[in-house]
Amino acid sequence: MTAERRMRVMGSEAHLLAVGGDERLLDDAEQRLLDLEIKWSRFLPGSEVSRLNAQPGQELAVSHDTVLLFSAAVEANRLTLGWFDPTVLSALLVKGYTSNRYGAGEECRIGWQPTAGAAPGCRGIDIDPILNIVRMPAGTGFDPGGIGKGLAADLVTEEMIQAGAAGALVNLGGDLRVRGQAPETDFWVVDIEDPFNPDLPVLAVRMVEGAVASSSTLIRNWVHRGRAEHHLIDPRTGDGPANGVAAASVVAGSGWMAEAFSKVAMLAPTPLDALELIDGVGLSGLVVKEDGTVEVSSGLGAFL
Amino acid sequence: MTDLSTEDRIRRLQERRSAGATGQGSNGRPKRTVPAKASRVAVFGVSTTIMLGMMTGMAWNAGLQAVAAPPAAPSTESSWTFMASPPQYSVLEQTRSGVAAVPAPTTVTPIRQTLSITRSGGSR
Repeated sequence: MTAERRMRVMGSEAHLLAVGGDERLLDDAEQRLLDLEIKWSRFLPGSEVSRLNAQPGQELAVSHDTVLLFSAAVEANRLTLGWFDPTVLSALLVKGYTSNRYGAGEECRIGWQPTAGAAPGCRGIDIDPILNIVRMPAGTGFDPGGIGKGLAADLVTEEMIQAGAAGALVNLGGDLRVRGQAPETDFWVVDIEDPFNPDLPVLAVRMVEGAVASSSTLIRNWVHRGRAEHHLIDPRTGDGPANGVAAASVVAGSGWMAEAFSKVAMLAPTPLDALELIDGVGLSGLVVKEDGTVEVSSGLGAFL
Repeated sequence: MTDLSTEDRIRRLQERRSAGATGQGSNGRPKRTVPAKASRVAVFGVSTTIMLGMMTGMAWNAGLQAVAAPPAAPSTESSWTFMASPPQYSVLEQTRSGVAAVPAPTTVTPIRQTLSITRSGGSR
């Protein structure tokens, strides 16, 4: 038996599957995702992330979930040598991404004046994993963005398995994690969407265990002060990338890592750079170029 | 997979680039590109081998070496050191031992029936 649910959470369409599970298990998973959104959304004034952004320089007691979120983000920043950076919030706000365009919440509130330019970086973010305390340095904002979705998929699928599911899928707007037994075959199948034609997959990846994350400049874009903007920011400049990459998907062992490297792939100077990076760290993936062609990493063949 | 850490892989990659490495995949062959249309055909039943055979060769972009530089000022340091953290970070610890996903067995299996399971396509 496989229970399935679709819902909206974290500003995205979510897809949940529990193999060998029932509706009650999905109820718990749904509630858990909403709980994580309440903790992590930068658009909810009472969230732990909003409190940290509003009170830079102060040590705040947070949940262990939020310690994990910051830990994953800082770790991703370190692994990618700064290419993935959760401190691009200031640049995002300057570009007009100040309110939640896709879900619940209000204006993003911060405790300083946002400025354009390079992201301040993760230097100075203090995380105490014993006491569950986080401190953001002055002038530095945290955008949980996609890595929050990837980590949420990691956490909730793990908890679904612990609760008795034989297999679990959590897909949060394209950032997804699968664990355990698949519903129909011995492996999970994930369609990679063509950003130019969402009705047709570019290809499908098959995996026993793992995560897929996709990023695209064609989604979450808007016009601010007469200029087209999107949510992908190069932390070195504070501007969006101009590299001919329309979308990137990465297959990894965990959702937060897949998300981090899909972002980095979007920021690579060229599509081939993106693939070189994905190959170089032992991951797999693809990029869809702005002309609609697809380039795949050397390792992706194992998943096709 | 070797036992290299992800960080080691990135550093080696950048060292290789800075030394003027050319555009080759990890298997030593040139990078390849595939039109989206061809890959779609492959998904719907043609074997991976055939799909790869459909890929066309792609010359290395001469500008790649110049753009392979790491971020000008890597902002990677944090007052919190991951390696020194206690082991209760199950989610993070897991990825340190293996960053890659586990592919399905390489047997030829009809997969069309499950294609609608879920999809990844940017954050919606």
